Amino acid sequence: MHLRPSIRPSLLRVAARPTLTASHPALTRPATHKASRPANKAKDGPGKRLGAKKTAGTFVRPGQIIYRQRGTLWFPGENCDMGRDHTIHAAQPGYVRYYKDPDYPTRKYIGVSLKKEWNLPTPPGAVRRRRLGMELVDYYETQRSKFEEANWSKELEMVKTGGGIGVGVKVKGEDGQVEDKGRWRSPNWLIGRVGTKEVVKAYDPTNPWLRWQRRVKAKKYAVRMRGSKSKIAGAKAKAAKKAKKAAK
Amino acid sequence: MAAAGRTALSACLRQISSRPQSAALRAAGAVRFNSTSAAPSADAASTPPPPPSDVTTSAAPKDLPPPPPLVDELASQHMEYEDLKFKVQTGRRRRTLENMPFETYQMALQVLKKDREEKIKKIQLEQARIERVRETMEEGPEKDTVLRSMTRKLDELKVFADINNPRVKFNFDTGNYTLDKPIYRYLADRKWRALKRPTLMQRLEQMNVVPDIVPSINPVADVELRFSGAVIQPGRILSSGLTEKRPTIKVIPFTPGEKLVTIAVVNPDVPDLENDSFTYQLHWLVSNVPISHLHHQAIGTGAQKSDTIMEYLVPTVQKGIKYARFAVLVMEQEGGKLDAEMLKSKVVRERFNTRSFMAKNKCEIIGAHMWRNSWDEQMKDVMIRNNIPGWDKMFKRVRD
Repeated sequence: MHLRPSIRPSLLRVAARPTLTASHPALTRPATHKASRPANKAKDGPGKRLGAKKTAGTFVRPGQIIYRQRGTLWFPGENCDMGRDHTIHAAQPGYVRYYKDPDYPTRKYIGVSLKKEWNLPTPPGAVRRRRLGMELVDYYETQRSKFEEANWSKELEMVKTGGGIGVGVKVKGEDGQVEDKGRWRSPNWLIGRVGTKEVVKAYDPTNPWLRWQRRVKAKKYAVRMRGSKSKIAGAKAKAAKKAKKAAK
Repeated sequence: MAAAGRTALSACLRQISSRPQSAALRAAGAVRFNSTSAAPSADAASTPPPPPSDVTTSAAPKDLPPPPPLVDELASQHMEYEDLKFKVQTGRRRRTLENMPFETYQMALQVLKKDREEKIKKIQLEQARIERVRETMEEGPEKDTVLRSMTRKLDELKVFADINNPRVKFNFDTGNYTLDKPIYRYLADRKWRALKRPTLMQRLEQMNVVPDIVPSINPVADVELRFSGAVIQPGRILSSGLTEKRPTIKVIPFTPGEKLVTIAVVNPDVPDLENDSFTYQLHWLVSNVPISHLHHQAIGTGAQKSDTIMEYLVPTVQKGIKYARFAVLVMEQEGGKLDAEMLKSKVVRERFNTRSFMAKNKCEIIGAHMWRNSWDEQMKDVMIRNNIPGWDKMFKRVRD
C-alpha cells in the first residue's frame, strides 16, 4: 500500500508540520528483490578437481602431482615438494606413502619412498635415505644473458678494483649500480644525494612578481657594489671638505 | 621531594658509618658462595678488588671504618664502602645504584637486603646439612642422590640470594661479569635459552642435521663460531673464501668445572655416485680440548693445548650440488682423556660415522653449530689453491 501525501504546498509554507516522506520507515517498501551488488551469488560453482591424484603405493616420477588441495591439508614429507598453491608433488622417483609423523602428531604427510619395500615414516632418529639423482659431467660455465655478456668484462674489472666502493663489491653501469643480495641497486653514496638535489626553477619573465623581485635584487646588488646615493653624496662632501682644508 | 631524598641519603650514610661491621655482614662474610668451585683464584679475580691498603693505615681519616671482608658477597656492600670512603676523603658524594636519592627506592633496597640475609641463613643451614650427610650417612648410591639433590637446592638458594640485586642486574646487562658465580651462570644460561638455543635447534632440525648425523641433540653449552673474526649465525651459507681458513671456536658451559671435549666438523652431503646417494666426510677432528666455565676458548688465540686428530680440510662443494652442510659437534669426553695416537691411526675422513665414533669413545654432545657452503665464484680458485680435485667436473641432474 502506498500513501500519497495529501497536503497542499501552500499549507506547507504556512506551518512546518511533520510530514511523511518516502524515507520514513512506515512508508518504505521492503525489498523483494535485491538490485545492486552481487545479489544472487552462485551457490555452487564448478568443482576445482581437488584431492588425491595418486593413491598410496603408486609409482611416481619427479614433478608428478600427488595431491591437489586448498591450504595444507597434507604436508610434503620425504622426497616431496609443495607448490605455490599447496599442491604436493614428487621430488624423486618412488612409491607414494600417506603417513603421520610422531614428531608432529597434528600433521598429515605425503612422502615418496625410494624403494617399494621401504616404509614411511622412518623410525625416530634414523638417517634419512636420500637419492643423489645426478651424474658427473665436465665443468662448463653457464650461459650468460646478452646484457651480462656485454657488461661482463667491465664488471670483472670493477670487481677486481672494487670500483672505488670496496674490494669484492660488484658494480656496473654508468651510475655504479651495486649488487646487493642478487639485485642491483643504487650505490650508497648516491642514495644520500637523491633527496638533497636542489631544484632550480626557470625564470618566467611574464610573472610580474618575479620581475619585481629581480629588479629589487639588481638594485640591492648595485648599491652593494658602488654604495647608495646618500653615501656617495656624503663621500663627495667629505672629499670637498678635505680639499678645502688642504687649500687653507 | 629533593630535601626528603637528601635526608634519606644522609640517614643511610649515617647508618653505614655507625655500623662498622654488622652481624649480617659478618654472616655474609662467613658464607663462601663458591666453596665447590675448583678455581679460587678466578673467584678472587671476579670480586671487586680490595681497597688499597694505605686507606686503612695512614691516609684514611679516623672515622672511616675498616672495609667489609671481600668474601663472595654482594657487590653493593662493597660499593657502599667505596661511597663512604669517597665521601670521607673528598667531602662530596657520588651517585651509584646503591645511594640513589629516592626514598621509596632506598626502602626497597632495605627490603631486598633483609630478604638476602634470610637467604644467607638458609644457605648456611643447607651447607651444615650437607656436611652432616657427608659425615654420617653410609656410602652408596642413596647418599649420592641425597647429596645431589641437596647441592641442587643449595645452588638454587645461592641464585635466589642474588637475583633481586640491582647491582647484579646492572653488571649482567653491561657484560661486567664472569661465570664463576651461580647467579651469573644462571642469568647467562637463561639468556642463551631465550633466543640463541631455540634458533640453533630450529636450524639443526630444519636442515636435518639431527637425524642425518646424530639421532638427537640436547645442547647445554653455547658454541660460538668465528671465521676470520666474524661471528657466524648457525646455518648461514658462507662464501668459500671465508671458510678457507679454519674457524675459532668458543664453548661456554653454564655448569662449573673443567671438561675435556672433542670437536668434530662433519659434512653429510658428499655425493656418492656408486650408491646413488650421499655419504659423510670428516673435515676436522680435535680431541682433548680443555674447557671450563671460566675458560671458553676451545680453538683459537688463548686456547689451551689440545690434540688435532684430523687437520682442517677446506670445505668445498662441486658445481651442481645445491649446498653442503657442515655440522660442528662439541662432544664431552665422559671417559676422560682420549688416546690421540690411537685415534690418529684409526680415524678415517671418508664415510665418517659420527654415531659409532661417539659410542666407541664415550662422547656425549653438549653443544653444536652449523654452517653451509655452496658453489660460488671463488670456489674454483679455492679448490685449485688447496689441491682439491673435482673443480673440473660438475653434477647434472639425471632425467628419470
